[in-house]
Amino acid sequence: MNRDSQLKKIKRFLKGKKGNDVDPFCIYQWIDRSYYESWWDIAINLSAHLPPNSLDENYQKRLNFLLIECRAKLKEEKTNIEQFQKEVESMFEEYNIKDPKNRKRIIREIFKEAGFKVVFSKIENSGDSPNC
Amino acid sequence: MNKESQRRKILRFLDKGANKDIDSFCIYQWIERCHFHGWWALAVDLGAHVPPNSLDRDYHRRLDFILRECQERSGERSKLGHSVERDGHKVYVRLETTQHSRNRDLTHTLVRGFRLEGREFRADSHKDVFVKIIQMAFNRHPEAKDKVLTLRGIKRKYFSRDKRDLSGQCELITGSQIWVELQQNANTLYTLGKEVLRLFGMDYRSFEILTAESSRRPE
Repeated sequence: MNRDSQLKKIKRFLKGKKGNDVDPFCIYQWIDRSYYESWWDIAINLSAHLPPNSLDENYQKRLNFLLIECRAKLKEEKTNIEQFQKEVESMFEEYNIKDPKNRKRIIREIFKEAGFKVVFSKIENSGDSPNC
Repeated sequence: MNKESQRRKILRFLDKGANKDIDSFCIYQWIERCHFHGWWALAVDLGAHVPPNSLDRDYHRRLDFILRECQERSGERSKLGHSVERDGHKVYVRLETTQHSRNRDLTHTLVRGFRLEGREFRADSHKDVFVKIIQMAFNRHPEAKDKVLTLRGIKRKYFSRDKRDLSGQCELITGSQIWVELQQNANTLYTLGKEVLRLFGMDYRSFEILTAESSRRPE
């Protein structure tokens, strides 16, 4: 298995298409893979499916470490996004950029510089919001 | 995925070798699974399939730690003595670590011969010793040559009538249609040699490798 095939399996599992053959150690390993690949939210979602005391002491310790790290990283990521949104918003105000098309173009340029691809999706009552 | 399905996948991987769908992290996870379930030997075998620097530094450190523990446990287990598991007509041998190899690691030793049943014989390498042992067993019991075909590892064959079942480093045993796998380390060749002798009812306890370090020279 590689990154993509494991991600597919994890998503299927989280959607509720559970096979009987998924044991707690497998969920632990999916959490580990999610940590390794920086899929923080997936790791946290998976943790809810892990029965308590289903791993031995050492692996339980490592699992706790992974989950603490994932939560911290997710929080950090959210903070960064919020910070970025604030900065962009203040920049738009400073230069008086109100046209949504212009705003999108500028955001796309900024992310392109940073090596990201931007996909805009509509969020209700908040106008267009960047989603990368 | 559970314990059994993972074990099957691991064995299939070890049998068939590299697969582009298997990434280094997956092998790392298999090693961890082996560690969790106490499949020490499988973990050690898988360790060879993780390319260097294919994971990040922390994971490599953890992998090294797990592998070290598996190697230690694997060593402890073999010291307990060899075990033979039967599955139909196949005999799976977990190799015995004898007093000889417990006291002396044969890796990188220079072979000058071997001792069997009180006599000393000349040989140039561990492979040479192993092949000679097989030939001696075959010469003594020509009617029972096929017995060696029952000897096999958990994952691979040591003997076969078909060369393609074995690696590139195999050799046809003179006077037979049986090929022997020679891609083994010195300690494995020694223990396998003992196993062959035991199988043919010969005095395997007297079998000893003579290396350059040994004081006596073979006649």
